[in-house]
Amino acid sequence: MHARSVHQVVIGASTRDAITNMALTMQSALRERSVGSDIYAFLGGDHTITDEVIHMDDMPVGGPDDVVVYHSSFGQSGLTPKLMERPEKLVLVYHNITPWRYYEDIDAEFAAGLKWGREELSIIRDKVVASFADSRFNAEDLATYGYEDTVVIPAGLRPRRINDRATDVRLLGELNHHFPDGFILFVSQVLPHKRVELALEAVHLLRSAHGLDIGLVVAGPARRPVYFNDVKRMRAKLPEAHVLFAGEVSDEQLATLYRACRVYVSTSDHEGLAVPPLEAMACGAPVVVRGCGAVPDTVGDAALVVPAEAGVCELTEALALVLENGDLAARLRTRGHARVKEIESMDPTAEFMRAMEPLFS
Amino acid sequence: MENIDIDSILSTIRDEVARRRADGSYPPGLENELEAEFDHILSLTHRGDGRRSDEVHELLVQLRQNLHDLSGLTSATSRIPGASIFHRVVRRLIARHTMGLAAQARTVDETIGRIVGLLAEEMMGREDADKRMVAALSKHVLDRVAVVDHLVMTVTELESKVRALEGKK
Repeated sequence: MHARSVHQVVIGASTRDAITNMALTMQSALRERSVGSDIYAFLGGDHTITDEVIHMDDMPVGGPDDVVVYHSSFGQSGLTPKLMERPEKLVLVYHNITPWRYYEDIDAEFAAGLKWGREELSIIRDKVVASFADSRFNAEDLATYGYEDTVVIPAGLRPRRINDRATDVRLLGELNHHFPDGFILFVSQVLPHKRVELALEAVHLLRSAHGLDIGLVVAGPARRPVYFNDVKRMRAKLPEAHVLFAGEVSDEQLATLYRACRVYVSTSDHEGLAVPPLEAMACGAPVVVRGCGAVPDTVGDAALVVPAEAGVCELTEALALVLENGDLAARLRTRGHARVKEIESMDPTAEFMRAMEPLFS
Repeated sequence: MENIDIDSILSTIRDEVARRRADGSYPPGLENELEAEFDHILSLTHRGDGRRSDEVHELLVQLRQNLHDLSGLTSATSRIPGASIFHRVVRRLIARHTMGLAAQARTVDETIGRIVGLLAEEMMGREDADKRMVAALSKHVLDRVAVVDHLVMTVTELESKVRALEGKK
């Protein structure tokens, strides 16, 4: 490699965020190859970030031989001109931008950011020298903005990222106390397009119609308090929705939840990759997902994929089937481990480095 | 490794849903009812999205245009030959009265316009205040959550130190 530096730019940063974690993995791989690599966040990092990420105001100006890898997932009108002005080669890694229709009624400012993110894709297109997408779904989305030859590599993806984390014994005790017959796990930020209410409704039906004593744990920060209140109101309307909102959890707590759950569920309407189902598989949980966005591609044949257009009754039946059929749950666990191995054997980070090689010479 | 026959499983799921719909475990319209319930919750919460004030603003513009067009004089053209002369004569004869009525109507409309304008300003002000308040509250809540997270970590660290000390004893 001849580039002096391959710095990365993200919008915001948190160690609880999949994009930041992917950027950190890529940074390690670059540094192992003796390439200078720092991560810069336009909005800075949250409280979980210490020295790993630097504010973009402190980003040095490189030369035309250097590379800036931009992780696109949202839009900030202040960032776009900064990217356009930089002399380095610009590489785009597209993680998908959620359609703004989910937010235009509840958070106009956030919706505007999502809209800008998509406009930005068109603005920076001619400056981008190489584009990467972490799923085929994202590459197809990117193609609608004129990006041809996008390479599909989930660079930095490590499904076993938290496998070596210790089990949080105290949390395990609390879970056993709360949910003596077990719980279904939902890991995600509590946002409208994640459709948390579907998971609540499914648990309500599992308990009321199927007579199963099962609970639901929702682990993830509530980024939109107004929506979170709506979800809690919905829970109040469903007398059988036995739910624990765990909020933001540490990696140890997350590993504990994955290991202890009876089923992992994803109800999202839109996903550009979907890392939590893979982490759940890596920790030995059987996985049930709605087949939206990149989810079917991500999980392959290792999860029970309910068609995107199916309703909550089909989702409930799928969960009931896995909960009541030990043989199916065991087969899903085995397939899950195999899927994780398959992804690891592809070594997406090394593949990304190889794909970047021509840019350095 | 044994494959999972997803098609067969999905078929079983569909059959089971049909059976439960038939025996009433899943009452008719259950999914629509649940969806409507959540939509109702959303509609209660997500007010102040600016659409109403936009509507009021548009009506105000329309009112001002109508006011501008209010002259007290009607068109004298007619499809009947010679009738337009008759209309012009009549219009001139009653112009004093119609223009007087138009002036009165304009005064009333101007007052209505001012009232609607003030209401529109008030609505937009309230919506802005709502947005600012929600943003300020969200920030405050997230700050508090960060502090609580930090405290939890500190307590956990302290507990592990206490356990270590107890172990040494």
